[in-house]
Amino acid sequence: MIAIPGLGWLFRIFTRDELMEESFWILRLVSSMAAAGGVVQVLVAGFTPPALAYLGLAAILLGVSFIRLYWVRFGAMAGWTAVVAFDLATRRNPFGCFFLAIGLYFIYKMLKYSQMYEGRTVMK
Amino acid sequence: MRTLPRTAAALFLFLLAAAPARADWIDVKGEGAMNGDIVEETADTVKFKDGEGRVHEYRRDQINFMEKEKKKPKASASPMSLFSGKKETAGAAPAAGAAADKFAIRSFLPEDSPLKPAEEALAAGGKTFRDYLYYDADFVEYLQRSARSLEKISKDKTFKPSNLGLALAGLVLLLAGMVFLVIYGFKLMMSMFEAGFLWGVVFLCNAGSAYLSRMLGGPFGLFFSVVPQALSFAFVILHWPVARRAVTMQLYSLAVFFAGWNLLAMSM
Repeated sequence: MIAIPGLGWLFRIFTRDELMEESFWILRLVSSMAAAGGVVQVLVAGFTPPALAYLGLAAILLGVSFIRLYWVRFGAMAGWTAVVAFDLATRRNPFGCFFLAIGLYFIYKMLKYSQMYEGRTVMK
Repeated sequence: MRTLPRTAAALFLFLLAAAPARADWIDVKGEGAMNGDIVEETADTVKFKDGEGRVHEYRRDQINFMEKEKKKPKASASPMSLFSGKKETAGAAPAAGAAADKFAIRSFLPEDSPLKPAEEALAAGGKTFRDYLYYDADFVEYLQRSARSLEKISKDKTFKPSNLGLALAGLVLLLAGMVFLVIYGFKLMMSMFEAGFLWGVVFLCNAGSAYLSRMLGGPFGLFFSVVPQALSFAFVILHWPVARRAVTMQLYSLAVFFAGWNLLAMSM
């Protein structure tokens, strides 16, 4: 493989512990962004439904990031990705493209991991 | 303190929303640039109606520069309109008189190049994607539309009585958020230096470019201000396992800082 930093990490299949660790940090990243966005919205526009939705999402994702169960993590990732996809389709927030890519990437990783776990494919 | 963020937000929104409505521009020798409507164009004269409704007739040789407003198709309400196939593609030649797509990819290939269809398809795809993201408007109009809807939301606000405890809690959170922002900023700098000396230099350039870009100004200034930021973002992507703690904690610190600001604002 060409030695581009980060590329190896991008294409490798994680072990269970690595998957839990990575999804923990991604959920925390998304949660922190939602929290920051939510409080700024409260400052600018008050406690409006979008601001509360952001803060609620931040709280849920932060809570889920501490639960080290495969299907809970998978559900959080898939649910959050669905929210981002819905947001992208309705509000057309361009930053959603970036988050959608992260979400789809992690769903792919988790599905790959579950196949590895059940021995359906051979992983190197 | 209660009114400061609202005033700042309102000023920002006003500046965004009050950007002048675009119309035709004409620059006449000896009279300067004017904004209005080009009423009639002949081979050697142009009739121009200015902002006060007066119609002037200029010879072509009097005019330095002239620009007609871009007429856009009406924005479609449904995202499904993307699939209706009614849109013009960027690859097709624009009709005579119509303004060209500002952001379209310029053709670098000769007319008879075998790669021409691929280039046109790329341009058409890019235009479709931008139209989808910005509701068929350009980016400035999209920002103005967002600003107007934010302005509508921020209008109904009620004042609350003064509350000293809330103000104190707000100050504490504000200070804590600032302190943790700085601490995790230093942590990010340390991890960048650990990953490589040049990465650390990139981080330091973020501070330097803030001054350098203002001294240089113009496109060079913009370039020097954006490069270290883009490289820092690249560092976070490429060295994510190293940078993740500092980045997420900085964002949480930002949330704490703004939560403190909110409490302070609510207390007054």
